[in-house]
Amino acid sequence: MFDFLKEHKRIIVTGPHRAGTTFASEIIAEDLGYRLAAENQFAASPHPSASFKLFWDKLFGWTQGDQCVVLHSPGISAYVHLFDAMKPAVVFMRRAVEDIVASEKRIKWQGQEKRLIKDYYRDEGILPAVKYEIWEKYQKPIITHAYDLEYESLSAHPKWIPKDQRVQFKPHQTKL
Amino acid sequence: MGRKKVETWDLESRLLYQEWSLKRIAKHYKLTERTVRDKLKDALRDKEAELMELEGDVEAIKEALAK
Repeated sequence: MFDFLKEHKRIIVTGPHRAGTTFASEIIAEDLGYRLAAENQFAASPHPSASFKLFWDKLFGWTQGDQCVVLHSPGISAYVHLFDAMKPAVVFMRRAVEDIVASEKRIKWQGQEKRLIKDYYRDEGILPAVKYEIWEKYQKPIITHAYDLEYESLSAHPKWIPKDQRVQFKPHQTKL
Repeated sequence: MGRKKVETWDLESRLLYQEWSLKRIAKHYKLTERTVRDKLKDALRDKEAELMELEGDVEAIKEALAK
């Protein structure tokens, strides 16, 4: 399913929160046999400068030699273009904005929008819609290996959980 | 310069967003913009470049994560 990513040793999976980034990261890493570096492993670090270095290391494998890695990080969506110097594959999750907003409401995630939207040089707006605009208009054209991945296309994967069985899922939950 | 300008996505807007994203990533990680720019330059110059000044903290975090 992810043969198109095999040529890349470093893969960033990003996009709006609630767009399937966690699930996509897990199955890409598993299918390709890559190491998975999850955002929450370093984002909550008590040492921000060190977490930046750790993030860097995980992304580019400086400390693990030439190991292949999938980095899951919707949190770096605003500045993912800055990492193009190392030519990772950047996979941007695509999901209908109304479905994302409904999912945000379900888990009561929306309180963070006002803070996060400032990352996108905006004061207001629907965060996933703004992310998609910036991805299309600014980031995708300047990222060397940019890919869109439709959330619904993942339903063909054997680990996909149908919607009616996911209604009680918590953030980052991908299994029953 | 107002934020609405970025919505036009002309060259000036793109440069503005580039600068803004550098500021935001620096803020996110509590680093100076200069540090972020230097790190990006290092990466461009030589991906094997070591950022020795942070190595101690990184090792401490790795140890914490391993526990």
